[in-house]
Amino acid sequence: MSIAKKLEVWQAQNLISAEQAKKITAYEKENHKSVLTLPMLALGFFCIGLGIVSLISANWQVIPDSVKLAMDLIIMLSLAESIFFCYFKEKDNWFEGLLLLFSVMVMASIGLIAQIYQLQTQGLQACLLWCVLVFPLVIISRKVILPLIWLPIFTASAVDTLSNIYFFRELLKIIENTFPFAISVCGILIFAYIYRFISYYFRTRLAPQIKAMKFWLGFDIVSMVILMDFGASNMFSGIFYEDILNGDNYRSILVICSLILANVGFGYFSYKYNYSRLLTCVLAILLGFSIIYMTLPDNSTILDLWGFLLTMSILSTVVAYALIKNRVKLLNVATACMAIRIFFVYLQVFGSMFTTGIGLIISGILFLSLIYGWKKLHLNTLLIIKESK
Amino acid sequence: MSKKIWLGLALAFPIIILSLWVWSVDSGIKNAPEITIRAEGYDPRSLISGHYLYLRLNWQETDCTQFEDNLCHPNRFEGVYKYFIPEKVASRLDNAIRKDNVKVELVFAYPKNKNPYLKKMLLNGKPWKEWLQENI
Repeated sequence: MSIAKKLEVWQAQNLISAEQAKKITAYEKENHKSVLTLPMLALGFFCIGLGIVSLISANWQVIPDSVKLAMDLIIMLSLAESIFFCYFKEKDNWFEGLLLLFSVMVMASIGLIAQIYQLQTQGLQACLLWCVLVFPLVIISRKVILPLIWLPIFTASAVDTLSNIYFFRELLKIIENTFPFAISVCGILIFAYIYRFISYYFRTRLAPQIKAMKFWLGFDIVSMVILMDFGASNMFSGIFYEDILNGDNYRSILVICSLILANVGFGYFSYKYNYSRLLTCVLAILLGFSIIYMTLPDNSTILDLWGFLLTMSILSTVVAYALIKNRVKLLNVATACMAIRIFFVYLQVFGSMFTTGIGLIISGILFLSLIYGWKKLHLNTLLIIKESK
Repeated sequence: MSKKIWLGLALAFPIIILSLWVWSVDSGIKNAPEITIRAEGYDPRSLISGHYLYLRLNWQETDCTQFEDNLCHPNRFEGVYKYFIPEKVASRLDNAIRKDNVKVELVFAYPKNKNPYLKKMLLNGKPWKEWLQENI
């Protein structure tokens, strides 16, 4: 509902006076900022930056190397001056856009230097260097765009560079051999810890950066669930870890115990500092289902059901969270996803339209009874009381 | 410290580091002796990836007397090098390197305690630009 409509409703309900409504409308008009300005500016500057990178990639020989380097320095200095100008004039959107262009120019400069001096980089080392160089800008950034771009590049390049170190490579191997999703679960858990700590200590100071982390954490979890649900039987068929207690698998047990402990620790931290328990529950479900996966037989129907139960557990948790927090949109999205997933499971398991139809009708009746029972028992209020405690 | 100073430092940081990097590489190349090593196309099926050539060092045909102790030191070099080339001449250079009668050599700046820097590529003993002008 738009603010104008809301004001009308509030006025009709005698919650606010006509004068108050006028004042609110005037304030909203005065402080209204176009939501399109920053994304368009960012897109424009990003394209310019990529264009410069592309020009450098063309490796034009007409201009001598020293002139190329001098030009690069002049562009960087002019950009820095423009950023300062926008900062003082409080042109927030231009400030962010130029900050993004400056960051892309840092990458272009790395490419230019590597090209002129024929420098050999291994893997994603150049990306890691870029991440280190623009890190202070990411911290200074007041909007989410630069942190949003920086985070995945940093994660990928850091892991790539770390995997050149013997100890880290061995550690990854041990985790990988524990169960098929162990590395992803471990990565998400570490990311969740960093996110929680940063949001606890720098909640207001690093708000856009925390927002970017939240987006990527959510993205990682959703991708992981989709991958586990629909890709598990194709990706890991034949790789089953029934012999976990055989041979030198004490390492696997150690990894599983560490992951469980880390999950419990995360839950305790969230509980102690009164954070939402949604993330803890989702992480616990991911870990639990990954561990259960090891014990499953190599049977596609069982794997399909396993994937279905995983998705439904995650979505049920989201629904419960949305109910407690009164987040109507989230509740609608989660229930719609549940409905789609239920339809798919019948197609996956039964195959024929007849059995799918019968199954869907039974499921529908079951859901309606559930809602009826939920309302009769006043579970909603119970949940809210429990959460507020 | 005020926000202005933080912003100034954050903007100056990449510029200073990149400038220092250029200075360090440049002085490393200028002050180091040169070494020429034979090379060959690394993968004939996709020799050019983007705008660089993949070249593998050929130690069998390299003159090891160029080194101070008359011994080759392959462990100080990478196995495969990327040589950046201009977009316009990429396919012509690719064809040239495929020819058997073209001797490819890479010239390195060889500082004592640092990694060698790839300086230039020679085709039949001449800088590649010169060779290209004469032959194609």
